Amino acid sequence: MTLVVPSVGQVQDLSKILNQNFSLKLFSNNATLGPTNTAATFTEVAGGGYVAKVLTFANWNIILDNPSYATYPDQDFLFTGVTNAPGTIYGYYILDAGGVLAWAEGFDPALVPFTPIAGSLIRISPKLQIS
Amino acid sequence: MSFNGQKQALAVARTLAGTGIAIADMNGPAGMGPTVAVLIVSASGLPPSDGTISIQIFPSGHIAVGTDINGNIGATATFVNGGDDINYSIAGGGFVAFAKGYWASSVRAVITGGGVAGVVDFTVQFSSLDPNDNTDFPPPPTLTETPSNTQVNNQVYNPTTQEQKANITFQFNNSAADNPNGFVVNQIDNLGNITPVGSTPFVAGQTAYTIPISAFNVLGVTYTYEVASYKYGAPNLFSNWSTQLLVNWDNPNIQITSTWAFTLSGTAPLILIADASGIYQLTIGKTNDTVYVRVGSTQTIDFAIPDPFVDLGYIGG
Repeated sequence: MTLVVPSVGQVQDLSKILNQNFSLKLFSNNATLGPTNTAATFTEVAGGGYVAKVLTFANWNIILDNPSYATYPDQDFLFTGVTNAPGTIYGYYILDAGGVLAWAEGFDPALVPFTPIAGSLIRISPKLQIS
Repeated sequence: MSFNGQKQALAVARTLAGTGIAIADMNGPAGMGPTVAVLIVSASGLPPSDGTISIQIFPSGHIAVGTDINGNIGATATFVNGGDDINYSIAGGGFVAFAKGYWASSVRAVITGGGVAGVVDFTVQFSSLDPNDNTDFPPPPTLTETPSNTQVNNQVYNPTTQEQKANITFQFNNSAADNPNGFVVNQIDNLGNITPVGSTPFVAGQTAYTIPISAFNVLGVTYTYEVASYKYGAPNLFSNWSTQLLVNWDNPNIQITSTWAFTLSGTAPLILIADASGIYQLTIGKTNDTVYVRVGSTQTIDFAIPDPFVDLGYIGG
């Protein structure tokens, strides 16, 4: 018999998971994503006006639905110039409050390596879904 | 940038970056006066104390709109350093004479001294400084028809080049037979910078026009665009500027919705037995126990017996 997690339970699960600060970071190396990845797999971008983002619990919007999900306001990385060597961006990764890799994603292969210049913008819309 | 009807005003010239050339317009209504006009021009790349030039007061009666003393539209003047590297005045008397009744098309100043050398062009229109001057100056000449129905279309951005493009389209019927030479698009940002960013020629019989524009994505800076027609001549003529359009260039180079999704799943191994019977019936050859559970539509469940052969105290046959 299949286990059922009701929507109200999903909301509770989301709240428990998200009740901590996460760090949203961009990585500059062409990392291969896989189940053995850790925070050390990625080289964080530096320079060019880059600053990592902190995702706080208060700003998550948890929606009761089927399945329930949580969204976070758009996070914009606006660059003021080229980034430090290698000057490329391949994707983003998120660390939990303990510095453990929560999840990571590479950008569309057609867009990488992305080489920011002054005025470049990367916008990430975080979302967590449980079903 | 222009100011209208102000008796004492400061006009900041628009400086075309990298050239040190500045253009300023000062327009006044008919009969305006007295007026003190000060133009400040900053040469590109130089600190204000070195590159700031001001045109000081023009004495009454010698400033008007019109031609120079030789009857030429526009005039040439040499500005000399007043000693403080900030204020300059016109050499040889301190004024440029214009005959009344016309609007000057341009004043060309050769700047010397103060670490700044070069030619600076001004387009100015002055009114009389004499409060008793009853001369009725004609309004500044303009082209009659203003481009209309201005719109922004085909807005796209290239994530590889990080350039954004669009088309400004507008309508011009030439109803007043202005017959302009062409049309120009100004870009105005929220910092007050005005930059011509595109143009297209007038074509007789054509009423729909398109001017391509482009920009690099810059967050926090808003851009508006306006269109006017122009016509070369003495003086050069412009129409009024069209309705300004706000173009939102806020397209990120990379936009991604990060969805972290996971699913909780599994089967339930625990079975709750209700209404269990305590009576056993031995069936020859049966190697499992059949238990009546009567849970929903499930009436019985068979359970395997590890070893069906057991010694019982039952004696029978």
